[in-house]
Amino acid sequence: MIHPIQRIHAHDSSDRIYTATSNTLHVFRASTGELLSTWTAPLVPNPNVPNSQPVAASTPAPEPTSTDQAQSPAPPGSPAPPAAGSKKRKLADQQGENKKLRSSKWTNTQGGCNNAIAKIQTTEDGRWLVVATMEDKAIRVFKVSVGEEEGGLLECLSTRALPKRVGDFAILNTDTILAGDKHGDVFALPLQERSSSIPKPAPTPHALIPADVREAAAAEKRKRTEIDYALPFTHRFVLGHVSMLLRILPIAIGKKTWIVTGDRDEHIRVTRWPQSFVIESFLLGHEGFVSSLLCPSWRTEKDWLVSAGGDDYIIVWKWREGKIGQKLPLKEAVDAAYPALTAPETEDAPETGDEGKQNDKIVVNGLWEVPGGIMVGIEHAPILLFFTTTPENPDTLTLTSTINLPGNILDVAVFGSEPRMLVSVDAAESKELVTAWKFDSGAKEWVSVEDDISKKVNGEVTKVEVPDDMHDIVKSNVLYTVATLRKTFREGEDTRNRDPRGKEAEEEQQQEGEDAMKE
Amino acid sequence: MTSTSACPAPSTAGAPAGGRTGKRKEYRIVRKGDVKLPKKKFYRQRAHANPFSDHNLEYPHSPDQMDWSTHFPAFFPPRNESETTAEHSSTQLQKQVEIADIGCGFGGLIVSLGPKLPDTLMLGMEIRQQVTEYVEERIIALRRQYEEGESENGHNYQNISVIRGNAMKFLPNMFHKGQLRKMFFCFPDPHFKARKHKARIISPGLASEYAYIVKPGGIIYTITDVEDLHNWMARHLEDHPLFDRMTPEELEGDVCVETMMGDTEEGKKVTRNNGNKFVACFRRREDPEWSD
Repeated sequence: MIHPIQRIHAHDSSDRIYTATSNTLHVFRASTGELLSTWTAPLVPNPNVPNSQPVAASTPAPEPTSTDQAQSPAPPGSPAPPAAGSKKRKLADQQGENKKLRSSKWTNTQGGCNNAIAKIQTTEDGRWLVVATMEDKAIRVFKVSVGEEEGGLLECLSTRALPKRVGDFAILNTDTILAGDKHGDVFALPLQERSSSIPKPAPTPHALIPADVREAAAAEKRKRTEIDYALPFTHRFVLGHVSMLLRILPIAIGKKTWIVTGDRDEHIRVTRWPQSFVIESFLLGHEGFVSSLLCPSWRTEKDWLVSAGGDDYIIVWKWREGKIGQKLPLKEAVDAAYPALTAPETEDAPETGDEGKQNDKIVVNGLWEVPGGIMVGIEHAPILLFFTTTPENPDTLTLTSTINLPGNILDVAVFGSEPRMLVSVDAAESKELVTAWKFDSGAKEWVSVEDDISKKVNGEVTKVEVPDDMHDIVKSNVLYTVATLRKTFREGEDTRNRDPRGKEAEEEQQQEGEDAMKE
Repeated sequence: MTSTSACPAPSTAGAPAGGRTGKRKEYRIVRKGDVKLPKKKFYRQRAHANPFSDHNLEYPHSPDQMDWSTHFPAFFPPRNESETTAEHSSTQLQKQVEIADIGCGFGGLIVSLGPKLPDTLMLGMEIRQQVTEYVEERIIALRRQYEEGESENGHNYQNISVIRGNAMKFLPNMFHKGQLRKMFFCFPDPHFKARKHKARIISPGLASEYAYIVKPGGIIYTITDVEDLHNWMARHLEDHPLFDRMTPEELEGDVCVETMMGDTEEGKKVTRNNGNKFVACFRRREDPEWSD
């Protein structure tokens, strides 16, 4: 499998298209398609594989030389057993442990994890590029040289790792990054701050610290009256959800700014900025997670907020009034355009008796603004739904057309004065990574075009071959990340703790519970 | 015969009363709706729950969809035959819930406060299912005792109720902006370890959420026997621009503080053990003017 482009971003005035293939970023000139620059996110040592080495930033994407090697246990002779004082479960069969970890992350033979790019965003003026990566939980800021002096195109100004993986970030006023993590906390970081190059001192192994010193330190920590985020850079806590934070959208109207956040527990929260201690309202109406938020700028009053995620509908909010303006069902359109998505799977046909389960399959993977309308992407489907207002009904959105793509939709970038769209797709057979579309204002529909930029992107993006045994991992971790946010409860399961932060957190909780019992 | 006599004494911490023998289940089925107060030992549950988990909870999608009719039936007009259940729910509640006890445990505070503030609707919230079940049964029993003329204090307990829920996640689903007059945090889980401090019920992020739920002038009450936790809660609410710490003079004679000190289950336990109780209360300020 050739790795598709999971993220694509366009910036008009600087004439740039940015694409992300796994951990590699490409910069193109939008008008000509010229490839200007590339950058590759460094691999991250797998914390659970002893002595794993990150690979230098300059090397291209990791490619395990053979599947055999990728599956074999840790390199021979290297792993020293973990420190004697560590918890028992860590001493569990090392080999088994490694195998388990391999099965959840794309690792190379040295145990480095592939650090895929999660989001690309430019400042309004196009001079700064902010990139979030998955495995090192970092936010990187690049200086983009625009205009004539295009020598070094990207200069990495800072790398700031958050305590938890970045769920989403937004850029505010060209000087502040709002970064939300998987724990639900949102921090404000100054955009232009160079990260300090002082490396963190390696922690002394637990076992080497005398027991009394350890206990004294722990007792001291317990007395703390503030949360220690241990972030070695300027940051301000902005707001916190007790849920995975999935989307941040700042909306500025006149002198006022609001921050709208969406989380995995169906909430949309509207908070003041910079007085972020004042929550203005909650917009409650979703039954599934909220992973996409959009405030269409063609509504000059910015009075609409469109939200979507784990539901088979999108909601158009009159957000200032806290009211639902429109609830637009998607099922009919999806069924008409791509019935395979909601069709019952043959193997478990007897079980799919109830209606509700079918609707579960529709998940919105993104909302994108186009002039006078919005595009709605459906995860795991090769379609884009195009909603617009009409002159007769300027205050309602209606489905205008469905765009059929050569592969499952991954991301969309809209650019140009006569609107064009570059859509990245997962098209295994056709080997096409992006398709280009142009709005035909006469026919009022989007037509497929083959232009310089799509040709160049398809031709010049580094082709990353994903090993066979990594297909599923890449698909679930990088390409199709939205549907996995759904809460699942097995039949008959009731109070069993299920920690969305994953199995490790669950085990940790279990351990804590046992500790508490002993105490 | 009550099943208590037939139940062997709990042997280990891991096996609560009747948990393994099935007596627990049996007791609860037999006594459901009984006029006698339920016995706590059949409902005990480990004192910690992970607030970050997806507990299989039921909660309304928004406060407008909250069905209060099962909680406070006496505060609804009698249902017309033409009405559907949905029509009959939340919109017709004659009063709003104004007091919430977050982590109400076995319900000591609301049961004690109910008769003292008979015209105020109050709701206990508890994340542990079995403990919530106990409080439900306790309230049903108290209501029945009144109906059958066995009440000790002549209060009908129609103004108190309990709900299972995760207050750290779903308060805005249940209450409108500025709906509450009082909120209680009594003897919350201390989460001693620094690593677990984020799970504490008071945090900078949650304080903003509580400020959203509580109306200006409303009060947040906190009490704990753990000094470190007290310092933590006090610090975070003092630092929050929407709360003012109340002075001892302001709190003098406040029936809620007395009840919180003396009538909560934990409060009684701490008294028995001669422990300290730390109280801190905060008044919700008005929202400030917008600043640019």
